Amino acid sequence: MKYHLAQPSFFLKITRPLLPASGFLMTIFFIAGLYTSLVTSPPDYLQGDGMRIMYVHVPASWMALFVYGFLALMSFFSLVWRHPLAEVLAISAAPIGALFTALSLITGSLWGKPMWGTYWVWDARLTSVLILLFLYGGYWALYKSYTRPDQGLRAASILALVGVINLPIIKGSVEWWNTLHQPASLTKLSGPSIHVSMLTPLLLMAGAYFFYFLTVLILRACKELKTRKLMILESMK
Amino acid sequence: MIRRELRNLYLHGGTLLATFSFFVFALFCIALTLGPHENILKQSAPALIWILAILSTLFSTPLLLKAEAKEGLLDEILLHPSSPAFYLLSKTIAECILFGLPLIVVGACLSSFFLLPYKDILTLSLTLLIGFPALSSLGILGGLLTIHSQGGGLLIALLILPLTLPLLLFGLAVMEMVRLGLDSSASFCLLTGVALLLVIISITASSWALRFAIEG
Repeated sequence: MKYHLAQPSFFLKITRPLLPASGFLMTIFFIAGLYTSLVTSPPDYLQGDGMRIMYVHVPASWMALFVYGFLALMSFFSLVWRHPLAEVLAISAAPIGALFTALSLITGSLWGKPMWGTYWVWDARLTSVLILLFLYGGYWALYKSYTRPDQGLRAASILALVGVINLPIIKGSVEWWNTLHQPASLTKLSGPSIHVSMLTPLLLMAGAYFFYFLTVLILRACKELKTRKLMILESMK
Repeated sequence: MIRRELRNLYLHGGTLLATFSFFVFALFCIALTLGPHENILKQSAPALIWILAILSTLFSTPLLLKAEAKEGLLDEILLHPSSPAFYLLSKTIAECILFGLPLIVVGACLSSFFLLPYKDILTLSLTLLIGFPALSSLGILGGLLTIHSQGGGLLIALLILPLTLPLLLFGLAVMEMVRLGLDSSASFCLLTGVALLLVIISITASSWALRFAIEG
């Protein structure tokens, strides 16, 4: 492992050109994704235009899971190797993940009202995503409840690792239990059961969300690194 | 080690007594406010007893841990050559014996508030018995994670309650099966499996948390 690649100073150096690039890609993907999803993609034959919520809802759910996985991985690194960059990345990622989870739940319930006739059902997938939101909340509350941030971070990292058991439950919830939520239509062995005209905007939106995550993550991580530097300077005075 | 933990727990009898009274009074209040409708009482009893058992465990276990931390016992545990997991496991077992069993017995006695039939009470007690080690070890994890924090009890509920939900759901699934007269062995196996998994995960996480809490 090349340790110098994980130095905070190296991180600050490579993100300087990476940040505008990621922001630029995010803008491109958002424009293309919104245009294709709102204008060029056909309305669903059953659900009409209401189905366009999918282009907001599905990528948000993917990102909610992806960011939690990222958070857990970074927590693991920070617990085992006590790596400062991993700590910074974990703290920076948590609120973004919570945002995606909340977005997924809100758009999901808005979509559920016209299609299922209700905003909320106690279905396995909905419940497990709500628990994911609680886990993000618990992580943040635990981190903030300590007066010494390093202690709080370590406790929160352990919680994040324990919470990983929720991820396979969310993934499996639509297959293990009989639920209202439809099963995955993209990651099937027989190939995606969704037409290209709808798949394209979906993937574009997923790309836009991913680059949004990357951009905000870099911004938050740089801010956090600089705050830490300031605190060290303050304490040396 | 288990005997030492038992004695330790016995010395903190006051906390246990307070928790029991919380459990009893909360059940009493709920039964009173739900009113004398037999159907509502019968249907909600298992869920309520489960939830109260979870809450009282999550509130009392961290209190006991905090008392031990104040006495410097946790530092001793880390200095001891054997793994802290043994200490945590014996703590869980001791808590099951001195706290879990009486709680289940009390819960079974109070089920008559809810007009539960005999068979349902038996199943409820059995599911609680299976689930209790997991609850207790999760409570220990919550207590260790928040030991130096400002939040206290409410924070623990926020952290650990989501993790106890699978237990609650599978426990109630067993109850539902028994009430409908169906074969409940599958749900029983699931409940036991989840409980054991939670014990293993939370003991492992707790021994990390213990090390970090003490070493700072």
